[in-house]
Amino acid sequence: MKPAIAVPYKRAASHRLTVGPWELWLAESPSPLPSILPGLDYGSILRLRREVIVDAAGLRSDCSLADDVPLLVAACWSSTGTSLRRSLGKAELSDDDTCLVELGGDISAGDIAGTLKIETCILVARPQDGGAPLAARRAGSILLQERKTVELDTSTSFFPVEVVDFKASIWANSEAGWMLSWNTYNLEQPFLRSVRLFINAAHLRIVHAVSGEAPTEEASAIRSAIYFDVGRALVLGALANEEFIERDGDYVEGSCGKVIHTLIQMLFPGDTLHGLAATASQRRDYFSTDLQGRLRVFWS
Amino acid sequence: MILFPLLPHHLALQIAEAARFSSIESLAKGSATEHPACEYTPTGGSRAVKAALTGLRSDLLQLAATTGYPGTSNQQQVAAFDTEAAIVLAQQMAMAPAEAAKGGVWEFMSCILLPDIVRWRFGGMGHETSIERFVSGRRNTYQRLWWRAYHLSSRTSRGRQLSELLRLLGEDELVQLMERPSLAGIEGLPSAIASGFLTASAQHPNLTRRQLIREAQKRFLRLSSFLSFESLTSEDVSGHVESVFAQVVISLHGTQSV
Repeated sequence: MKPAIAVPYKRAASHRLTVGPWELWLAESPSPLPSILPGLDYGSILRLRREVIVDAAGLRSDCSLADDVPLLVAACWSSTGTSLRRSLGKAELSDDDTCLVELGGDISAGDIAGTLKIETCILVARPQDGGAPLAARRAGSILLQERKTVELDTSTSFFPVEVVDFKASIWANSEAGWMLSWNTYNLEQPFLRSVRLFINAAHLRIVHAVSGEAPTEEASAIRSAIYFDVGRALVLGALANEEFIERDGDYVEGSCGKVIHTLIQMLFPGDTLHGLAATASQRRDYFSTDLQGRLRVFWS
Repeated sequence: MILFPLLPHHLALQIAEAARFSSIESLAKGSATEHPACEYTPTGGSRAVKAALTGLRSDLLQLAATTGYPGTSNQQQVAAFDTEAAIVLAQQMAMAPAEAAKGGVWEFMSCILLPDIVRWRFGGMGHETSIERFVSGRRNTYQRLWWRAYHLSSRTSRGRQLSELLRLLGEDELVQLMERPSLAGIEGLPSAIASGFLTASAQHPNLTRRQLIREAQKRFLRLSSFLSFESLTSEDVSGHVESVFAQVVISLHGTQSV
C-alpha cells in the first residue's frame, strides 16, 4: 500500500526550521557528518549533535495551532539494512517566538546497515482536543521535517580482530598483548574465516590502541608494531609454504592465499615468489629488515 | 555480541536446491557446525564457538521432537514449535541487528546447522520444501523467528513479555505484525499493537481476530506516514493503539450490522 501523500492537517512552511549541520563526535572534537561513512564496527557509537532554530510563532500560524499547544523538536533515524527506526533525541519547544534547540543522541553501529536516514521534525507533543478545524490533533503529528541521508560504506576492509581475555585461554601467554591465529597450511580457506588477531582484553593499553577512532601517538606506535608483526607473520608463513609458491596466486578471491599473494605483490612489486622465498629462508635477517622498511613500521 | 558463520549465498542456493528434496534423516546426518566456505564478520564480537552451535542445534531439536519431529505434525504442533524456537533463537543468538541483517547467518543456520528441521517444519508429506525456507529472506525458517522475537521484545517494563505475546498470537497475526518493515522496525510499536490487539480481541469475541488485526495494520500504516511513533512516549503510543482498535471495532461492527 502506498503511504498517504496528503496529510489531514495543515503543515508548516519549510523556512520555519533552520538547521545547523550534524556534527559527529568521535573523539574530543566534532567533525561534520559526511554523506558517506566508512565501515563501522558493531561496537562503535555514532554520537551526533546539531543545533536548530525554530520560528515557533510562524509555525503555529502556518499550522493554525494555538499558543498553548506543546510542540516537540525531535530527531529520529532509520536504517534501510536493518529496517529499524528509532528516536535519536527530542526537546520540547519553549514559549518563545523563536527557539534555539540543541538536538543530539547516540546511534549504535550494530543497529544500522545500508543507508542511514536522520530526520529532524517538529511535532505536536501531546494529543489535543478541539482547536482550529485543520489543526493537527494527534500526538506525534509531523508539522515540518528535514532529512539527512548517510550511506554506510561496506567496501572498507577490516582485519578480523577479536578481544579476548588471554587468562581465560590456554593457548596464549596471559601477559601477551596480541596473537595472530591462522592456518599456514590451508590457504584456500576464506581469509575472514582462517585469520584472526586476538587482542588481550586484560592488556588495556593494547585494547585502547586498537579500539580508538582517533589514535594517540602511543596508540599509533602500538598499531604500527601490530601491523608489522602481523604482516611479517603472514608473509613469512606463506613464503614457507611450497604449495603457495607453486600456485603463484592461483587462489579464489577472498581466500587466504589470494589475500596474502596480493599483499606480497604490493610490498614487493616485480619480485618472484621463488626469489622471495629463497631470500626469506637463506637471508632471514636481511629479509626481515627489508620487510620492516616496506611495511613502514613506526612511520605513521 | 556473537558473530555467526556466514555461508556465501551461491553455495546456499546449491545446498538448498538439493536439501529441499532430501529426507529429514539424511539432512540430520549431514548437519554440521561448520562449513569450509563460511566466513565471519571481521570485527564487532566473538565468533560463535562449536559448543554454542551444538547447544543451539540440540535445543531446537529437542523442541522439534516435542512437537512431532521427525514425523508429521499438525498446525498446532508447528505453531508451538515456532513460538518456542523464536524464544530459543532470541536467547542464544545474541547478535547485533546489523549482523542479523546479513543473509549468510540464516543460510548457515538453515543449510548447514539445522537443515533437517527446515525440511520437517515446511516439508509436508512427500512434498518438496520451498527454497525460500532455506535461503535468506523474510520467509527463511529461522530469520523470520529471530526478527519476530527481536521486534516483539517490549522495550518497556510495562509491556507484555515476549513469551506471552508469542504464545497468544497466531501465525497469521504474527505475519501481519511483521510483514510491514516500516511498522515492525519502530521501537516498541509491534509489541504495543500486539498487546492492543489481544485486549481488543478479548473484549470483542464476536469479531474475527483476522479482521481486527488486518484492519488495524492498514490504519497504523496510514498513520505512520504522518506520525512519528518513534518520538512518542510509550503512553502516547498506547493511546494511539487504543484509539485505532476502538475505531476498527466500530467500523467492523458497522460492517457486520449491514
